[in-house]
Amino acid sequence: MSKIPIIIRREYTTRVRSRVFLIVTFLMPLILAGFTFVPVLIFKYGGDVDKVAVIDQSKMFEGKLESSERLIFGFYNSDYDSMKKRYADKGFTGVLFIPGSFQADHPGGIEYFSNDQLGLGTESVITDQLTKVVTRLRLEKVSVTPEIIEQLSEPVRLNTVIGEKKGNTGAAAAVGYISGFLLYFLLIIYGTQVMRGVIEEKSSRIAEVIVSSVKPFELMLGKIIGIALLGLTQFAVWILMGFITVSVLHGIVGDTSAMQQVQNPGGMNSPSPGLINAVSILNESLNTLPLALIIFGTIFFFLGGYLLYASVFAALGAASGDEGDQSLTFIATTPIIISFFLAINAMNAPNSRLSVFSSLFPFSSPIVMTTRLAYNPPMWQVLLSMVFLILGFIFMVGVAGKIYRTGILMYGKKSSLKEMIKWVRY
Amino acid sequence: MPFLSLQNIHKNFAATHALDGVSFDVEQQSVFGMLGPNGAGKTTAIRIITTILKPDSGEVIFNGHRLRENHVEEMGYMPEERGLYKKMKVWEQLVYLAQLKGLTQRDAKKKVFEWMEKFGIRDWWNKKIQELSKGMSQKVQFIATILHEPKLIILDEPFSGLDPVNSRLIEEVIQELREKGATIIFSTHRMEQVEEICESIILINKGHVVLNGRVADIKQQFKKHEYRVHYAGTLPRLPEHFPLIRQVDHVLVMKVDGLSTGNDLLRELINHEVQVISFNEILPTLNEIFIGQVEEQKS
Repeated sequence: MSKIPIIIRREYTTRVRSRVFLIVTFLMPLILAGFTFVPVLIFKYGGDVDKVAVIDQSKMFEGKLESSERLIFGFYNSDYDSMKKRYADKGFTGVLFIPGSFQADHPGGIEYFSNDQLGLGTESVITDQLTKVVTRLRLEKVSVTPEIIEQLSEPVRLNTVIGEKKGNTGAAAAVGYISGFLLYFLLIIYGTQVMRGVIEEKSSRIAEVIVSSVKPFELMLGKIIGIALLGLTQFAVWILMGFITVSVLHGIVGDTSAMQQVQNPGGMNSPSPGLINAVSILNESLNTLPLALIIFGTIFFFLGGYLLYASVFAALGAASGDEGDQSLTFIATTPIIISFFLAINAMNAPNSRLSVFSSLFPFSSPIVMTTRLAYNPPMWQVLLSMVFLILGFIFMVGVAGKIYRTGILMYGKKSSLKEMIKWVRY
Repeated sequence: MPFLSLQNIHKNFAATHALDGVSFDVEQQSVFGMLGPNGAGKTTAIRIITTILKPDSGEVIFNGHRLRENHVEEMGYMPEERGLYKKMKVWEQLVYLAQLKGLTQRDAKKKVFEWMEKFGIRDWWNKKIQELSKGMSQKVQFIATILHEPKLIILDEPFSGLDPVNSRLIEEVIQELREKGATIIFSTHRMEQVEEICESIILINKGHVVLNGRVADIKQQFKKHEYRVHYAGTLPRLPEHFPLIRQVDHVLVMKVDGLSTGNDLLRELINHEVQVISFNEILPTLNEIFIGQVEEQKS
């Protein structure tokens, strides 16, 4: 009888009971939310408000430069040189000087003065504002009225339509990013768990006792599968948590609309209109995505990618030194990190050649294809990617098994890549 | 028929010949010593017996059959490099290892508690290995090796780092298991223990079997025909055709050459009116033979 189930059970039960597992399971959704929203928040609220003193001797710009939340223009009639000395005392970031000789047709001579380096964002806002005004001036010069300019400047609103369905690029980007990031994170977390497990067995010297009872390959496979089940348990918990959260939100929104109808006299606990709005937008956005494909695909690519990378991690663990040294980890984490960058590229250009290739290539496909799933990629590409991934991990498990078999019983220092290749050939 | 037989085993790792035509037999219910300096090939031989490694050529016969992978269920192996999962509880660990040897979970649990009782560590069943003292975890390791009542027990340096009390306990259990039918292979450097416990030995060096046989026979083979004579009083003239090797205080070491025997020497001594208090043949210790053989191989 194969002893793999016994090994799987040990690998699973010892980990599922551990504190680390509980912490990761319940904190991960928060971390993920953090990684998604924090960059947005930082971008939105991260900088201080820039105030620019404008000395417009040409009188062409007064009242035409639009201040925004992040950048405020203040017009002054004073002398440029004296302003240069006093701008900081007056609370300005810098001085924008437009000389009297300025002409819309030959837009030169404008100066920005400050003792501090101008931020990239601020510089482009100032340039845009100036350009906008100058463009208007030039158009007016050729007798185009402001009304016509207004009409001509009406921006286009793009409704993306994918096949029969209404698409939603924003929702796709969010879901694609979250699922891609989730996979990136999980591959590294579970991969290193496999590696740590192997190193533990090697450094505690129990490996030799175990492989006198079971084949090294069985031990490796048992460990990989046991930890995969751990990952699936985590997924199940998260899906459940997500389901509960959505239901609770629905409950609150549903209940309050009912309550509002009966005019709940207390008015307590009523959620803000913003929340109701957010939930309905969420609902609407999610409806535009191939949700079933995304959930099934994410689990499939997680499992496939995990099996592929876990065997690499296991082999590296076996080749590591027996003093708990994990310096070989980078060999496996580097392609995972590169895959994540390729996934970000795929969000910008989901159907580019690079995106298609990297979502088919087994070492990058788990993360890249998972991200692309939100963009409704052609079905044949998804299926082909799955087939390649299966072939990829079968091959990798074989290669890793050979390295593992030899490495696990080598005591002393870590082994070189050259040695690992030699072991594969044994 | 021997219980275990290695026949002309070759095993190479890249350019090194770990085992170069090694053959030996281990009789059933015997205690067999495998000796050799570090890097001699002992561990490779053990790993071949435990099917961890496959020989490049040659054959292993286990209990009358060609060695198969499932034979490992009838073996218990305690490697020199001991190890247990540090974060697992004592009983869980033992049950796990027993299950890997083919026991059902129920049988394994029963056996685990029986053996823990016997070794006086019953109270520690729920402790994690990392909480145990070294001596305690060595007991756990030993229990893990023999729990499934293997027919062949292989112990690599079993007494290294063991306190005398535990050493004694394990020695007793080894004898007990042998009486119940187990065959035991011992791999060690500690010669005095080999002389005490083992009936037969092999000496491996650089992948070759240098010596092979019963301990008593080997000692006979390497004896130098020297006798120790303890006498009283003053020493009269000594018989001439028995060379004197050493003389310290009232002890003589004399050599018997050619066709003479110990009896001849003793008779001559008495004839020369030496007052003999004791007379015995000097047999080399295994340690001396071991060192002599390894040195000889070097030159």
